Amino acid sequence: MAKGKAKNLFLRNLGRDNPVFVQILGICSTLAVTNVLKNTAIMCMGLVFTTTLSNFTVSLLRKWIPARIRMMVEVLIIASYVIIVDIVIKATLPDISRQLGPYVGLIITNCIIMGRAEAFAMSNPPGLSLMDGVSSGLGYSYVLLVIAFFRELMGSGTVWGLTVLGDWWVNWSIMVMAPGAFFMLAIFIWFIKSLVIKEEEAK
Amino acid sequence: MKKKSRMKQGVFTVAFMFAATFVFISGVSFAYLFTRERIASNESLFLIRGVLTAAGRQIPEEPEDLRSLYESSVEELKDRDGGILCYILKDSSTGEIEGYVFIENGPGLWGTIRAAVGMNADLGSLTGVEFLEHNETPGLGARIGEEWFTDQFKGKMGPFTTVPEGQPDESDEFDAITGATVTSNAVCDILNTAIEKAPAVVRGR
Repeated sequence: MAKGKAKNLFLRNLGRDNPVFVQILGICSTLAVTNVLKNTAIMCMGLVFTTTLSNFTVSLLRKWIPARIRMMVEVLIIASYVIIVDIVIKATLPDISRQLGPYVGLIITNCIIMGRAEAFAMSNPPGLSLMDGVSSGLGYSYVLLVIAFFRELMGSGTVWGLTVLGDWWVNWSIMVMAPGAFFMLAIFIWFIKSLVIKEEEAK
Repeated sequence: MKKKSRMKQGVFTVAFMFAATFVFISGVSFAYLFTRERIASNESLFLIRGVLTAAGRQIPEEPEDLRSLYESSVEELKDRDGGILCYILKDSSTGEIEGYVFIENGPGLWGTIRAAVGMNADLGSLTGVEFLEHNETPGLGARIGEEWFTDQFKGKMGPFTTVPEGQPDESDEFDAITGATVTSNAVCDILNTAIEKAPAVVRGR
């Protein structure tokens, strides 16, 4: 029973309850970091790490956190993990840290993390919350990676920094700028909602 | 009775917040202490690599080699307060001056751009340009960090003007980046400022 529930939860976060294209959370970073695939991947790892651990920690403490200050405590927990991620990236991957600039620190304000802590971890046991954190993070990550793949391909003619489209390809500058992200995200949501999710509901 | 329990609750709330803050901040502080040296060394290595690249030197792979190359061939020219005015490149055996590297800042599109500008001994041409810090748009303005862009300054001398990307340029022109006009102009201003300031700094030595 519990196993089935966890599996169900995991899949829901990847699909029908996906934080990005169903709940439309975390859009700010979806738009900001998806113009180069490599940065997106590092960002996603940071986010998965943070949602997982913050969900787990909030859930562990949920019986003691006074209701009135629960948001302060949640932000404190999230911020601590994010700062640790930031420091670790700075120490081990200095070049990527320089490219990501302030975006790692901005994981703190990612609505998905706060949303999951508030909506799920506060009322569920640690094991389930951990699962929820991982799956929300992954649900966010794959959407971002898909968007980043197309933006980098069309905007710079490269994938992961390697040139794949030849000289005949004229880079669509708009794809690496903010408007490109809006278009890609909208197309992605439209595609998923009209094809995939609808079919599921019809069943 | 009721009042007392509310009071108790309030004390618990405050105490909990204090305790939670203490625990988590301790965790972050430990992470900081463990990585502090590594981060500081990364930063200084990055600056060293930037200076030597701008001077047109071959960059060794190993961090230790890079440091020893820097120590043997670079002298830091400081002002009275200890601020660095420029880096003087010397031949490591004869001590003859081979060139200078100046650090120059300027506003880009999103934030400050910091560049290391290398010049030869008579300040007659650039030996290289390396961007140490910028927050330009990835894929557009951030391409100033790519080699094709920084390489085009080698052997030229400003004051510079920009021409569209892909056009052949004269000795005082460089290719701007398509879609990043503001960034390209900012780079142009930074280089021209550095070129303008250089003679006074070198003469004042």
